[in-house]
Amino acid sequence: MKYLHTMIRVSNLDATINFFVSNFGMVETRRIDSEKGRFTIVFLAASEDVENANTHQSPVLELTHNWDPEEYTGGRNFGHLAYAVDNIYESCQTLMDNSVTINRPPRDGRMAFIQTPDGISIELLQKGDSLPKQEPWASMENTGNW
Amino acid sequence: MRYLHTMVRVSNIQKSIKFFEMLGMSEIRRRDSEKGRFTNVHLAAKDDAETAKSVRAPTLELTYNWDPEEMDVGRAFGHLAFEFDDLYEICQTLMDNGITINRPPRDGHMAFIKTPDGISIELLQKGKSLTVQEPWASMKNTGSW
Repeated sequence: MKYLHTMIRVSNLDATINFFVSNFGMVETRRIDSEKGRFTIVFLAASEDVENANTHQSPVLELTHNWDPEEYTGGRNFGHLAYAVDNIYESCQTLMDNSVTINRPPRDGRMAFIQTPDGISIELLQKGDSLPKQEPWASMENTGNW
Repeated sequence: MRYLHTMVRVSNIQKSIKFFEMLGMSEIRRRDSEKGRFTNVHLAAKDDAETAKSVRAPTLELTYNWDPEEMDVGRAFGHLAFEFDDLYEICQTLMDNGITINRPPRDGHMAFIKTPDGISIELLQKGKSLTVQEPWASMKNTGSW
């Protein structure tokens, strides 16, 4: 038994791919368009997971875009997706430069939360030891929920 | 950047761990927070256990909040997918344990079940699909997934 992927539904495929690619450098590894099922499936891999994703199809994030519009509600039973980043301050700065709200800023130099365009929570965790606390992060307040 | 885990909230931690153990996962890390009134348990699939210990990924994080809350199901989250050496065998094990196979592996390739809190789990056959065979081939869908 082996983990393969986590699937989330997305209302705007291009906006979501852009979210993961431009902010994090994730890479599209596979795509399926189904005329019959009226959906598009895109698999994205984090930069350091690309090799495994290409050979073992894991670990990847599956985006499902149903061509017929539907409402995407959040449920309490699903929590978040978590990724490790080399420098959490740099990642959060890139996100802010791209106008993404940092719902839970990395005040502790270790952890931050943001949301995808469809409200899926993403946890960013600093690789290894926490970074030294520093401004503007240390005094940045929470925004909304995650 | 590297994938670490997917977190799901659970209303009954023992029941959820038992459910995932049935699939072939095991607990590799646990944290109880008196202050936050929660328990976090990280589980790893059998073939991921080694990397889950060395680089903490890929794992499934279960969050159990000690104060009861309603676990409603949303549409934005889809499912978690795992591959198995023998899809029929795992589905038989699940059925023997009273788990409903919402989407039976009629094609020898794919099945769907749900966790006790309604999280969809996709079960996929590793490598080539198995030969189509009964009782799976004519087993109907149950509910949604």
